[in-house]
Amino acid sequence: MEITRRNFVKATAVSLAMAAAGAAGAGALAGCSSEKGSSAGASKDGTTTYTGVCRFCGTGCGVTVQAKNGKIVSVAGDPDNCSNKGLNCVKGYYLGELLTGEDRLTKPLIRDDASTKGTDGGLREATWDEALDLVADKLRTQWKDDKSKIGLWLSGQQPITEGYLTNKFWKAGLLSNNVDCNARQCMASAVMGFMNIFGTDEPAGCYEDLDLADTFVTWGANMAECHPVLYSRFMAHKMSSDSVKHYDLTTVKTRTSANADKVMVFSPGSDIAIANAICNYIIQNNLYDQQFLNDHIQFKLGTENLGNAFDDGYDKTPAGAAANDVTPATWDQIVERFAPYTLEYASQVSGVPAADIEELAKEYADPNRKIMTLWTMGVNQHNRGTWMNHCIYNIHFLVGKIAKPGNGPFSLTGQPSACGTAREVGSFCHRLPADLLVANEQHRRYTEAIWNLPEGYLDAIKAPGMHTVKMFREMSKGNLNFLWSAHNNWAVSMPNLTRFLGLKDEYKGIFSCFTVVNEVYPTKSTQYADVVFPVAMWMEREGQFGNGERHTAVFEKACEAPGDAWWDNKVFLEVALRVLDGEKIGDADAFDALFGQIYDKNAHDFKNDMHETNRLLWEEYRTFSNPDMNDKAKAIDANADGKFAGPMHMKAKQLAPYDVYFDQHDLTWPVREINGKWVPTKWRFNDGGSQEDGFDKIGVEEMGTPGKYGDLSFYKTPNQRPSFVFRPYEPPAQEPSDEYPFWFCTGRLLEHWHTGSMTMRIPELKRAVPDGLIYMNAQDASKLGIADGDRVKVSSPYGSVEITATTANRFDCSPGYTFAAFFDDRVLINKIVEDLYDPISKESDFKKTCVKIEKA
Amino acid sequence: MKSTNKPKMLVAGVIVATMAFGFAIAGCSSQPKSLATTNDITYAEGQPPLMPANDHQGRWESLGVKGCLGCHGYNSDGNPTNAYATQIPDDHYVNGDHNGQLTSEREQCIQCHPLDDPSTR
Repeated sequence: MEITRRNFVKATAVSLAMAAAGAAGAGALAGCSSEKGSSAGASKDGTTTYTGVCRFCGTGCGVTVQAKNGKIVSVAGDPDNCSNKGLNCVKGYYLGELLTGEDRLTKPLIRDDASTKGTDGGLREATWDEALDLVADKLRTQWKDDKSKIGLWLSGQQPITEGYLTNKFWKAGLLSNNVDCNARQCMASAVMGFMNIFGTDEPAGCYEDLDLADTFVTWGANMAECHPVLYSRFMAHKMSSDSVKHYDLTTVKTRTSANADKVMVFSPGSDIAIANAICNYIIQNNLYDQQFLNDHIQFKLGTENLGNAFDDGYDKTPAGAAANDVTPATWDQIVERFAPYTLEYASQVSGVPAADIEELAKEYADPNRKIMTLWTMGVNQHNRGTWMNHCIYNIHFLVGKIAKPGNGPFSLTGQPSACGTAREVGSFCHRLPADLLVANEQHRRYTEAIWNLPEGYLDAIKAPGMHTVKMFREMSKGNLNFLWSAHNNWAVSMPNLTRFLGLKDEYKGIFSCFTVVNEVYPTKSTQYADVVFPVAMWMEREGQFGNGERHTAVFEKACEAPGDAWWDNKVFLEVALRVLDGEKIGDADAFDALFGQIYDKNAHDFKNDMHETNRLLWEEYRTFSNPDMNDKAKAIDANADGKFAGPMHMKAKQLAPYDVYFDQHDLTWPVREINGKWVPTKWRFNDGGSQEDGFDKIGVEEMGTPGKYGDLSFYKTPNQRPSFVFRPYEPPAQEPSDEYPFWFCTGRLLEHWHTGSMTMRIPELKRAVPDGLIYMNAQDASKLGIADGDRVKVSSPYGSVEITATTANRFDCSPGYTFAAFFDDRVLINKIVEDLYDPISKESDFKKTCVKIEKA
Repeated sequence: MKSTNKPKMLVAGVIVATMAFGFAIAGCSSQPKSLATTNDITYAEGQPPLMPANDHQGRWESLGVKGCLGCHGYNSDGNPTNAYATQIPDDHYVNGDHNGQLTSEREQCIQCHPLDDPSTR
């Protein structure tokens, strides 16, 4: 009898899990073998199976975890999870070990002498009460004195209900927008692209497109290392047919280039010239989809000659202040602006042969080929990152290939919940939950309705706060007196660490800024902390992630956190109740008004167990995308009194009731209830098929216009017309010189996650790649007298580091190009990374530093 | 069940010299087994073993999945082909059948089996 691949992989996961459990009874795994996903169930020998999600990259692989005697004993892929269908990469299979590193933080720590910051010493153990009282006192004092000098830095690795709670505390409790997150440094350019173009964040397509496309274009994305399971998925599809093609556009050849049909190595920053040349070719040769443009698109021009955001005052310069301004344009104007972008011009700027660009343009234009463009940090961490996002959509718009099965631009996500928490929850200095903006009055009224705040209460936060780079720049100058970070390791991941770690005389702010870090292991960031809170990680508590395809997944609590480590939510609530002590919102006690439904401040404990607490938080959060749950919100959403510009269409991001996610592992939002069953949407804005088949039938019927060209209706976009914005090529902020002759790019490797604080504690992953290395071209190394394995000094205008050089071909660098991953905090490569950001998204450019290299 | 139609990914008689280094053979995961080891690492169930570095350096880059299957996969000479190599578990094959093809999603071997080498480049 034939079995489907899904059933097969499922059987594999079950057999693995059973073997690990020592022949666990089949009953334990009953959930796995039903059509629905599994949730916790105990077996006879004390082994329990839990639903989980990998806590590393943005792919969001579902995992099945078995725990016994309080310890995780096996991790297998979850075949019911639509994102990975049972597969993991090496990091996923070793997830269990990340909890048990020898140096887990188990006690609160306090630093009494700030001059010991940056050293291994200076922290002493403290009680929770002492640490909480100290942090609350510092925060409350600074908040009362000058709340512009407090900051909170969150993460795309924070579970959804935790991000929701901390944002509510900061924005509604402290009325401060100085909250931003590390997704700013990861996805912000993609976010600004989505918002500018569609008026709604996150992609129209889904991972299933990887099984359906005829042509794949990876552009600034090393998927083989950074999204391994998705790479395997499209490679599997590619190998299944001789007609599937892959084009890889990159500045350094990577493992992703290895199996590509064509690799196009371009000069840093010239990607926009290539994209515009593709558009121009399609226009000049009349290969565009006229009706798609007529029926769906509006054209715009934007501010140009933006300069670069090197200086702290950039945002207030004329170019900085107007960076995201646009004006309507005609088709003729657009055509005229593209005209200079000939194949020859793009070739000259980029170094890519004109014939290759032409071939790719034809590939995009071929009406018989479905095409998927995939990109990540090469596009986002870019001094013109938002522009480059626009450019990719421009190409897809011209040929009408978007939001259709197998067809679409697809922004890959960096972190496990960059979408779910950072973006959907709104952990940004300008956002409220569910895409809402602090600056928009209707959005504030809507949020007040759901948070049960007096009308106008949030007008106090209508001005955005400090974005990430501004927060750290101000901190380094002594203008931030309280900084709290959680679920991240800023002291390794930020650029220009030479400045932010106080290694330069004029920037000593880190020593005077009271710094709080929630952490699981000692890191560079805890070396700079005044207080360290030890917290639960991964499946030591229950949580939720939202991945790059709008898929929401839950992970169950499978074991206890070690020692005195707490759930982050308890830490934040205990500080909140102290800081808000005696404060009022209207006539109500402020803490109780915000968190009384889940937390008893007198008992210093949650009112319910962790699952119910999460459920209550989720149901409140879910109201943002289910306005029918709140009458006041419903009226504002519908613009019932005509006070605002129009309806908000909040159901466009509809989420399901919390418990549904434990039974179903295939819920990509918007989810729709049909006859009591919750059904995902795979292709947003497309009503070319039934809701049950993954099309956005209900969304288009309720909020859009059925029957439009291509079965598409962009109902969340103003005028239902996404924006095609011409963006010109402007050269990189810096280019190699006699003094700094090499391009230097940072990024990730397969084996290590971000700053290595977790994966460097998994013995097998550390063995696989124990040291951060700088990859060089062999001829370049030879000219400098550098042999493979030599120590070198790498310097930029920002600082210098010592690191081991290699000429091995994991990264095949052309002459003049170098690459290093940033996981090794002994190297601390980001000390040399340039400090400038995209003027629109405020995301740092980590990819184009100019450096010199000498033998150490 | 969709199957691949490209013979290029089959075990295609890639003959390599018998390796001098023996290590315990991991059984297929459908049967509970003792823990596999390579070099001096002990692996728990479900943890993919690393590739020993001393004789695998550069193999993935030059040969890809064919190189892996040449020793670790099945052919008429045995399973694995090279008796000293770690056997690819049956769950890596389509329908769990090592006479057939590797599941196409599992062809990027390096994604779960990185090189174990302190000097990995």
